[in-house]
Amino acid sequence: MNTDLETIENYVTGQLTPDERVRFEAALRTDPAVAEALAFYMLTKQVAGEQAREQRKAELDALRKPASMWSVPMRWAAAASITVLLGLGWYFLRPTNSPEMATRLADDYVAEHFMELPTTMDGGSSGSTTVDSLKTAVGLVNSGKLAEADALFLDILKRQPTNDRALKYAGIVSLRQGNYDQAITLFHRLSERTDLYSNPGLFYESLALLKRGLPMDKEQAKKLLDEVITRNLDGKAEAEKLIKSF
Amino acid sequence: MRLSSRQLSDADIMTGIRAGGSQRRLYENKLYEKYQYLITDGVRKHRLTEDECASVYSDTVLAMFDNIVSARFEGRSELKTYLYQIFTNKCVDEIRKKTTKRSSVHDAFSLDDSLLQLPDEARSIVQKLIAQSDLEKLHKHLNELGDKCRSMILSWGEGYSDDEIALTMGYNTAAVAKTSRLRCLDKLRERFRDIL
Repeated sequence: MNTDLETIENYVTGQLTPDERVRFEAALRTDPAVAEALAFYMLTKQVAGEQAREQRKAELDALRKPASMWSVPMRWAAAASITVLLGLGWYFLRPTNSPEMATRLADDYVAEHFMELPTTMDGGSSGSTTVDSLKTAVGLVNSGKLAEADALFLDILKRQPTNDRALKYAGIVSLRQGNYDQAITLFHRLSERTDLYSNPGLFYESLALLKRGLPMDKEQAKKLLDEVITRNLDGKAEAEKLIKSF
Repeated sequence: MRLSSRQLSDADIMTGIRAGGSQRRLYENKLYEKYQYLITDGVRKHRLTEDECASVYSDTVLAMFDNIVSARFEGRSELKTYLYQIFTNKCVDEIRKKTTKRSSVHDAFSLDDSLLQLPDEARSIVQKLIAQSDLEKLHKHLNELGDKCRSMILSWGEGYSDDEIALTMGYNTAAVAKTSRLRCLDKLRERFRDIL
């Protein structure tokens, strides 16, 4: 009987004709070579299947990603917990009493008081060069021409370095332009005027310091605000609000 | 159906596996990756080590591949549910194996259903021959057969058709692949004959 593996395979896979099948099974009982060939075929298929499976298993294992500490549902739960914690953190740690809050209050003050300047000028005679220049500069500020106004205020200050209105308005324009160094200098010069009935110089300087926000600026602003309150200077009410927000 | 999609639907994965050919493994890999979080779940729920669970999970997806190809999994339940059930059962088996130390029982060699088709008398003869054979040596000879022959025989053992073998191994036709495969089997038989 033919023991070639093709015949064996045809028998196992049911491809022999009924006659061939009967003859094959008869030989299987009587011819040890046929039985050996069939045993080899079946055993090899099984062993090959096992090896293929082991090999495939190793390939799959290689796909395994590093273990995450948590499963998908647990990761969702963790994400939800973090969101809640962040929410609570924001609630309890939100900057109600922080320099950031003070800066925000300073912004509010600037927006409320420095966007439009008064056009009436008292304490100076109309027709004088300085008063006219101040009116022109204020007009420029109110029409949004800050750079031109700035130049004009500085020009006035060249002529009258201690002019309180020029110092105040020039400082405000500098502050609005983001030129905080200049604003601080101008407001400081204003604050040094001790002959004025009303002088917001120190309060404005503290605002400019808060806006600049350099490392020591907030501390310095706080000192100035304390001084405004202690000396009952212009801006005391606002200074008290700002101090509370530190 | 785009294989490049980050996460394929179960239907796409099953279609890809059932389509066979060179893409089958890629879809199998996608299935493995999609549900590999079960490993972590297994560690947590069954108190098995991560390596044990990973091994159980690989066995699970291998069984799933068979069930998909053979259509034993008909899609009446969700693939995830079916996979989870197999995985859980295998985890329980693994725990039993550990606690009773009866792993040898599970490792017992068993032939597939093809042996059952033999007439009773012939079956007992073949079973006796198989029982007497040296499995380790067959493994050894198969390993030493040469890469191409071994790959071909392993693909056949895994259930790939000659069409698929021809496609993946670059043969012109399934008939050529079959001739080459049988030649490789002959070569292995020659090396094994003296001990059978």
